Amino acid sequence: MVQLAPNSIQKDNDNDKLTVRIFRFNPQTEATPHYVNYQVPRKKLVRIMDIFEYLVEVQGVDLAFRSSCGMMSCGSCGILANGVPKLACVEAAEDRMVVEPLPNFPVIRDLVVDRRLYDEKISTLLPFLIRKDSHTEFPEFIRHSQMTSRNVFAQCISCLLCMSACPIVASDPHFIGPAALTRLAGFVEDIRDRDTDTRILKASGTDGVYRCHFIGECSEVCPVDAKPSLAIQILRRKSTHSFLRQLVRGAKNYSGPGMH
Amino acid sequence: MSISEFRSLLENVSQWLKFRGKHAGYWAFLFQRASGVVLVGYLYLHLYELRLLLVGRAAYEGFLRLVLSPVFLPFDIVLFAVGIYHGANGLRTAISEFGYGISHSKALLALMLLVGAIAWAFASYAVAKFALVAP
Repeated sequence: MVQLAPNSIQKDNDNDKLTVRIFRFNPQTEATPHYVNYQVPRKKLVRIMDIFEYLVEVQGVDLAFRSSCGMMSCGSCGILANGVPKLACVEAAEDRMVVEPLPNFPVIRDLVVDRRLYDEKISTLLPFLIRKDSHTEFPEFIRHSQMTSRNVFAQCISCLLCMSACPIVASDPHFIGPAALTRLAGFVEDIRDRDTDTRILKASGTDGVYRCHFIGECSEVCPVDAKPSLAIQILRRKSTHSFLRQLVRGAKNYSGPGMH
Repeated sequence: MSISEFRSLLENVSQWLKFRGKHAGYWAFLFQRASGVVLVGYLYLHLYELRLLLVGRAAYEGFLRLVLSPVFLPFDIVLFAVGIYHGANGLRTAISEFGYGISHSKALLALMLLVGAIAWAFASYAVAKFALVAP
């Protein structure tokens, strides 16, 4: 039997408390939001999500928040922690941390925001694979190198942290935004997809890729490194090439990027 | 523009002033916006100054003597910094917006700042020499 040295396992000190300041707002009963300080026991490896669950399950606080997978896979639990968009399920809690809902989205209650701003935008961009041809063989043989670019953008979990960090989304809610454009880029870069031209046209609209000013905050906050800023610039490059091709061919019907 | 639209515009632009947790790219964007506003203001000033040509030679030369004096040197140096930054960052943004150098955007930003700083130092030296030494 292995004997562990004394003090080799750090014991939790339940006397230590962690203070977290959380945004509270119920539009149905309150006119303005407010902040409340909560104290929870300080333990090793505490996530922000753990604090929420403790408050609800142990202290009986009626805090509204989103959670699902708990493992940075579903993108439900985006919040603002000390002014930076983060996922509550993986972000470590700190003492005196300020937790707020994601900016740039209407607040439904407490830390829950209305995601329809994103849902409506992504639904207009054909967010599904439109195959070039049906394949008869299974499995479908595709080289890894052919899917490398697509796989980067397909990592997006629609957590909306990028939408919250983007100053252009903040100042213009009509901008499609990095999240939807990243998903779109995933389909554009997919060799199995047929309708690239339609997708490029959708991305080139008035509120599309040309509204991006390459600030880069989207990529900085992305928890899965889906590179939204790269996705937008690739779409922009493809859109410009498409426009120039049409120009050279003298297509009269082409309306051009940003002109519809 | 109505009052409500103006208020909405102010509120939207005020979102740009939330600095907490922002990274280098955001600051570059903010300075690009600010330098653009300064340069637009300078452009109007420059056009206003050119109107002195219509007033007469003496008026225009009098104005030139004023702005070429050492008193105006700090303004010129600041203007060079603003203009060079705006141009260099604009070039960096244009390169990046075609999808090149995205993975090395911070390195590109640092390079731009370095080249801009060298150009600014040279320009400042040239104008200082002219303002302080020339008769």
